[in-house]
Amino acid sequence: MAINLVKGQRVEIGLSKLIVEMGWKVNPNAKPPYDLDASTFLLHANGEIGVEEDFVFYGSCKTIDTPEGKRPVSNDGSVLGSVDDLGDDDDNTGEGNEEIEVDLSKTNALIDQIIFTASIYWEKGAPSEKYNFGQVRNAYILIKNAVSGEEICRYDLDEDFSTEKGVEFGRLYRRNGAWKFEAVGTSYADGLEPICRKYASKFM
Amino acid sequence: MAINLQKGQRIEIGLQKVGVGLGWDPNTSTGYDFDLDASAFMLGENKKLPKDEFFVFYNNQISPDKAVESSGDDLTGGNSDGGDDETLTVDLSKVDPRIQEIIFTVTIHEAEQRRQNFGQVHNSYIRIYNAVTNEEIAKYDLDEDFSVETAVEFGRLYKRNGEWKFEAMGNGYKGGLQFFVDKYVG
Repeated sequence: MAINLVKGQRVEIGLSKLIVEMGWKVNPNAKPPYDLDASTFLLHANGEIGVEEDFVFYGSCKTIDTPEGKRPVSNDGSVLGSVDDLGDDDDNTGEGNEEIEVDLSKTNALIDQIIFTASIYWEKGAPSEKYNFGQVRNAYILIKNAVSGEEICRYDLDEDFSTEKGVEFGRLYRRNGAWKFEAVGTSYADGLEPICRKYASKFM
Repeated sequence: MAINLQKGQRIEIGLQKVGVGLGWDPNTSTGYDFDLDASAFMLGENKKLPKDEFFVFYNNQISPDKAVESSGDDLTGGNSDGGDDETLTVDLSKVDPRIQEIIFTVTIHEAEQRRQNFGQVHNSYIRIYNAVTNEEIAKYDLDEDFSVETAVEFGRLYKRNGEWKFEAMGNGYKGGLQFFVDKYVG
């Protein structure tokens, strides 16, 4: 039985091979169509990434080829990001989900926490006020056992984000030698950029 | 170093001056500030306040006997970066003779309206230390130990054979300061 988490709640994750899934449903009437991206940051104890490869996203500088397409990967190989566009509204249902594979046994000892975010992408010059999480419903993050597929915990973001374009869904972090997960659910007004400024400022 | 309670070891010297420190990180994302409050309830034999002024909190920052004093209210967690944001200091030599125990609580102001809990407040902790030796007696990481709760009865100082001792309680609740007021105000 998966545990349903509330915002702020923390649980211990007794596994190393995980799938972190983030999903959402965009209002099908939202125009223009939305492009949502999942991104991951692997942070040192100072709260920032140590190398550029540890910002795992659609524009990652390190990728590997898989049967599903090119996937971004962290410097230590412990986080395998999703294929870009997988989370988009390709079938016009408005539903999307992205899967990130995590192997905590490979995580570099300097990495203190792994942050999972989703943000709305818009082209330069596009009317940014038309993009916001107010049009995004049923957002969730869940953690599965990568071997058995069993759901371990799930957090349904219950807040009514209206004008925000970026949300930190959850984070894995080390605590007394074990890994824990926190249901974070905090938002940022301007999409991925302010999240990057917080965690990856020295590479911007 | 915390006190080692192995049997055979007795803490001969009672406490004289103690400090209770509450610390947390300000909210860096959108949404409401985090406003945590440390309070003290000074109780008589019947486990109630002898009078209302023995409840020390943001609107009553010193007890009538001047034994318990609050450093004042921090509304955001911005007072100190990494250290205590609110402090209660206790001079046990001044405590009114009617007082038999002092309970310390920490609560989140308007937690329900703001939909907050300790888990959302990063690096939140409450600790008690011997203010004479600066030795820490007990500490809870609120965000880890009470992630879904909004009020914690941290611990109590109590008098035994004329000496003051501390007992960690660590009881978490999903209420606010009013919950403790209802409990201790007779």
